[in-house]
Amino acid sequence: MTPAERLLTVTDVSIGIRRKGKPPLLIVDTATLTLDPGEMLGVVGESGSGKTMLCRSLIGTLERRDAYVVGGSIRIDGMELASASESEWRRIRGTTIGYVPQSALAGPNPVLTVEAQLRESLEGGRRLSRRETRTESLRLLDLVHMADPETVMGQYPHQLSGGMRQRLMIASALARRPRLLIADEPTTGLDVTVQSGIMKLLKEIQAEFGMAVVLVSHDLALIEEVCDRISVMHAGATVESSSTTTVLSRPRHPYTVALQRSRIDLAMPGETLQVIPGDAPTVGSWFAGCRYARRCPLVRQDCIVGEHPRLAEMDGHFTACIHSDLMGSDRDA
Amino acid sequence: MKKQEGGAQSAPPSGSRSALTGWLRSPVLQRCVQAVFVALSVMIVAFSLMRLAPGDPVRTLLGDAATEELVAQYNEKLGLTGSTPEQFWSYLRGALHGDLGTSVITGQEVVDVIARALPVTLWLIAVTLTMAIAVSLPLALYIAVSRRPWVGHLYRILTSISLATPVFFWGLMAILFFSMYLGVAPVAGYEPGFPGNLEYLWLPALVNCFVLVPVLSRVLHSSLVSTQDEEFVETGIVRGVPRRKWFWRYLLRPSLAPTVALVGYMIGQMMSSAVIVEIMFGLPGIGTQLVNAVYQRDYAVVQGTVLVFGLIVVVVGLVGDLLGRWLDRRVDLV
Amino acid sequence: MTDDVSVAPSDGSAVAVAAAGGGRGERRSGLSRGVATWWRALRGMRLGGAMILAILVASFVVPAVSPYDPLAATGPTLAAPSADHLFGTDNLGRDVFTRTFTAARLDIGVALLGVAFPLFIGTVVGALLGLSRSRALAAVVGTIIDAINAFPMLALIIGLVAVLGIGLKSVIIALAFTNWARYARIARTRAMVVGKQDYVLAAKTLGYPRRRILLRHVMPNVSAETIAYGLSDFVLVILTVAGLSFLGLGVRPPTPEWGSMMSEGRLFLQTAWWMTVFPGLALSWTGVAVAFVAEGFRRRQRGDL
Repeated sequence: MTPAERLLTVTDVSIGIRRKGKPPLLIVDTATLTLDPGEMLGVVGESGSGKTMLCRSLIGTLERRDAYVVGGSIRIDGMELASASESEWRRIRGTTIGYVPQSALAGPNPVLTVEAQLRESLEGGRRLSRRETRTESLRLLDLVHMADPETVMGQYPHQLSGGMRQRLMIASALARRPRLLIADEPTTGLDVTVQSGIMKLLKEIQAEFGMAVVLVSHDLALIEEVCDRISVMHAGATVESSSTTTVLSRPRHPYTVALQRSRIDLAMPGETLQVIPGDAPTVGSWFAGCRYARRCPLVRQDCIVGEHPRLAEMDGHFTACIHSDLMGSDRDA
Repeated sequence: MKKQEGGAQSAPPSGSRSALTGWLRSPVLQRCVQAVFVALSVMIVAFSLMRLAPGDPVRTLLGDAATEELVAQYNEKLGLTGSTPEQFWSYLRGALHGDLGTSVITGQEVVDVIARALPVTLWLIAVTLTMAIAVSLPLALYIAVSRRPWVGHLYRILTSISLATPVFFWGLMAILFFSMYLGVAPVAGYEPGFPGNLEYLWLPALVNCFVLVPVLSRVLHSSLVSTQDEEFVETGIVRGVPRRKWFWRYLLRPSLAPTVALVGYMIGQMMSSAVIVEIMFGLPGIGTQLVNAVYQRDYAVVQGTVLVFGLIVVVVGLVGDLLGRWLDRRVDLV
Repeated sequence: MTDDVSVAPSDGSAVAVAAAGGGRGERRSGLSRGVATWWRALRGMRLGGAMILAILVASFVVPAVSPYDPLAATGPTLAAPSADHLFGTDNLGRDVFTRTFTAARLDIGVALLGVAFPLFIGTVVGALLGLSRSRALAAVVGTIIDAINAFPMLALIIGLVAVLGIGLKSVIIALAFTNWARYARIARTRAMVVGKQDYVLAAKTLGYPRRRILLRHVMPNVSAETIAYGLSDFVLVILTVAGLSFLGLGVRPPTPEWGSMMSEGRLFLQTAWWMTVFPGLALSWTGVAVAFVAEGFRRRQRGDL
């Protein structure tokens, strides 16, 4: 597909927090994503890698946290949104883009019943008849496999279990059939069995509606299972990106290699678990050059000077490691 | 006041027997029962008032005119004869039948005195509450949403000053300014009947607001601020809920509950200042009755009005708690 | 109005930290180091503290220095403020300036008593109640506390004053009888929480006698909170005392007291506003000063400053 037709294109975006009298504090720098309709993109990274802030930039809720897009471009469905105004965002939220926030447990409004919440998701700015919204809400609850939808409609969030609340959040995000769905860690805090149920649900919905989904997670196993493409983030930067199979079988960034190595689900019994040494640099203490340098076994002199390396492409496989050619074809780097 | 987060709660069981026990366990009912108990203990306190004093109230009242005969008579009239449990029992029985005793000074039934004065006080409360809410809500909202730091500081300082200044000072200044200087309000007096009484009530209500608005808006403000930090607020944004609706549903309504539930406490404070305001503006409410009764050593009226004060706070507190729960299910009632 | 403050065990740490954190070198004299310690300890409460200091000093200096007797007619009646009479004179020709500052000692002193008694009684009763394991006792005393708290404070106090007889002594007694319940409620809640803390359980298992546990572990924590409440309660009490006198139920003329002065001035509001305004300002000044101190203290406790 030509770039003009891609549903989501995030190019070299940096996000910063406003500070009085000083330049903004950067949380995300050189983030790049692309997504086509019907695809599921997994964004993986440690906590603090900037994944959630990046998601917020895609739904326009940065201002609330005194943050803004400092540079780069965000194009969704042909619209440039990096510096969109609040009213522009209001037109897109819910209609073009759906968002399932990180904490489903605290997500739903506690003072509204399930019916009221679905109703407001369906209405947005319009007014619809009670009957219309009720029928459609029941259909939405069915869609997300909510048990006993009739009863649930009249209940309040605190009466629902974690898994049910998550389904409610998904249902309300899908209410107006957005073309793009952003799910920020949709299964964190849920039971393992419930987790797989939610993931199956997302996959099902994606297939049925041909939606594009951005799935943010720190769980590589999860992403491998359901996502078509992967984008790996470290300390605010996108360090590798391509199709899932490509990235995970032939990684071209030492961080990805290390992530794969440290996966519990792939460890053999009796083996020592591998961990990634050190910590990712926290916001505010970013140093020059590649921010993975201090944890990287391949580090060279030119890794720690200048700006953070930009993504370089080779056959649709993007990497930010300037020494990726030094890496072997499989996991020993 | 606590908010509960919960796991799943099953739907109430069907069947008449379990429906009854379900209803009995209802927090609403429990709260009402609690209110009855508090009302009862309020009555006990009001009852004890007269009997706790050192010395003999009747002799103090009669002074030099005290003869044994007279003292016995007055003791009888004031319900001070017999053992304490006997006294309480007849007092309780009387109260439940609407008999709060007779004034030994004027000879009127205490209930009548209160019945005539109560509407005035209730009107004052109503007008005050309306004004206070109308001012506090937008004020608290504005302060909470404003991003300029000096706004919050100024607000805190002004509310502190307003609260620490005696209500009678505000009252006298208000009379000086509005009644005497501008002439837009009567200095004192009252005319029953709506809407005529509003002319006499608006300035006293305004003065009451100097005490109530800081308290009310502060509680609302702190509630708004903590609500703003909650996760679900963002849900309202990402769903594309229109701005006005968002302010109400995602900011105000979840914040109102703790405010409304504190209404009982606030009414208590407000009634204290209402007593002074009534005297200052010559409003014939129960506050004035109470103070006049004290001057005249009319113990029966004192006891009756103190009881009514207590009961009003209990009732308003109950209403406030129930209203809070209706607004926000997380409110813990008991 | 108080928030519920949950406070870590306090042991005068504010002053201790301030003292320890001096470190300005050995050369400083004892006096200036002492001053520096207090300066830092009072951070956040400086404005209020200064205001209180001002009125306290005035309350002693003015009556001592003034040529006028606060109880006697020393000038023309209802004279406007002038060089002779800075605050004017009242309807009996008494100097308002002298009277205002003479009244300061009375008002502040009575308010102190009105806080001290309930504070002490309430803290002790509440703490004991919170720790008590006797359910009957907890129920009975607890209900009494809740019942008293259910009333608007002024109404209950007026009722008590009615029975005790009008006068200053009655006011103080009435305050002690009613206000303790508010302290008791706070102390009870706090004691219940503290009683469940690990360090108390540890002390119990170690076999410490109950009194020691109470005094050394529970009381400091509980009283920290009641004292914090006491600061903001001081404002309420001073307003209540003045309010009662304003209503004619407390201090009686001719004793100078802010509330009764304002009540007397009420009749002459239009012609001699100074009779009311100056005592009112003095009362507000004191109230605001204590409110600032209380607020600063609370913010300190919460770690805002």
